[in-house]
Amino acid sequence: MTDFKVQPDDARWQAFLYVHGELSADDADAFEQQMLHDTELCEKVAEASLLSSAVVECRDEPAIVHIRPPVRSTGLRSLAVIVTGCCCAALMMFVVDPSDTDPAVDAGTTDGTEASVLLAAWIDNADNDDELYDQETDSSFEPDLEIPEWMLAGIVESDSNRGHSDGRQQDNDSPHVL
Amino acid sequence: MCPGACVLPHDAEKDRLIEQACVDHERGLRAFLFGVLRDENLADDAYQRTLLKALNSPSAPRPETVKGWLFQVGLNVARDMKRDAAREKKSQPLIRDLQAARQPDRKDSGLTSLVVEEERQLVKQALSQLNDNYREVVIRRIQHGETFAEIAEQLDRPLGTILTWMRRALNELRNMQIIQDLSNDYPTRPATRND
Repeated sequence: MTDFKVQPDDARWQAFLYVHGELSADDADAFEQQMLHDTELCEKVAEASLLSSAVVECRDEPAIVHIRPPVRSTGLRSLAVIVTGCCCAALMMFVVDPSDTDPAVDAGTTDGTEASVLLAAWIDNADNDDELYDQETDSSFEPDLEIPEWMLAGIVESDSNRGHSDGRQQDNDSPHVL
Repeated sequence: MCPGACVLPHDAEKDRLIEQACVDHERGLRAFLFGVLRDENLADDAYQRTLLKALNSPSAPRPETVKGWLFQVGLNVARDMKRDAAREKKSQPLIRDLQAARQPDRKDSGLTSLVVEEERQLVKQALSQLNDNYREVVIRRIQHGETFAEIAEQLDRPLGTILTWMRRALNELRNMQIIQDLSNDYPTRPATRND
């Protein structure tokens, strides 16, 4: 048996807890012992039962208003805003002016470095556009793999100049012969 | 032992007093027994046993204390039955029993038969006047049968807050006139019977 003792101003609450089985077995037993000598406590139990019964009977009514749990931290909300903003910005970059993008880049490149290399190659070959176009449209075109003589002469010249600036290398190394 | 020999002589005045008390306080007594037993069938049984025990009691209650006396008899009966039920492990939670009592074929028995349609409407009205937080807890606890701990977890509130809301809700409901009327015995009947 516990020291359970219902105070007069607490009787209604204890009666409710008793009716709904919220008291421990010992407390419930002590509560019943008090009821044996306290008619008002019995009436409180009857009152709690009636009220509970009436509330259960109202179940079909949409009396309940669901309360959203409180938002305890604004950190997650801020992060969500930032991420959303970034996503929107990235989306805008692709959506706003699609004509600016190079089809070649779109098709074969995903990297800015590659794009710049391709762009440089395109500029280098800009003077030969017509020739390239003719070659590409000619199905019988085969690239000439022979190295022109002017290029060989230039390489030899370059090596000989380097040999003059480094005497030891000139003695030990033979010139590049292609 | 001969059963007839155990029956004590009854005073006609005493019998009338007890019968009248049983009629006047039937609603409260049934509700009380239901609160103790938390089982509609057991409460019905306890009510019948209480009447028999009261009528067969050798003691004669005074008119001014007959209600309390009747409740004491009912409590003793209910406690005996509760012990028996506990031994047989047939106790059921209150909420399940209340929900089962809402079935149409059980309308004429048990506690819920004591709550008439007009009173239901009054209780709905009383609930609608409660603070949203209080109403949420009342409905979750009483209608849905959720424990206070579950309510606290779902609403992401401390358990103490939930208990406080429930307690305040009960106080507010009790202070409403319509709920006070609900607890009165036989509000639509005369308080006394003229034989």
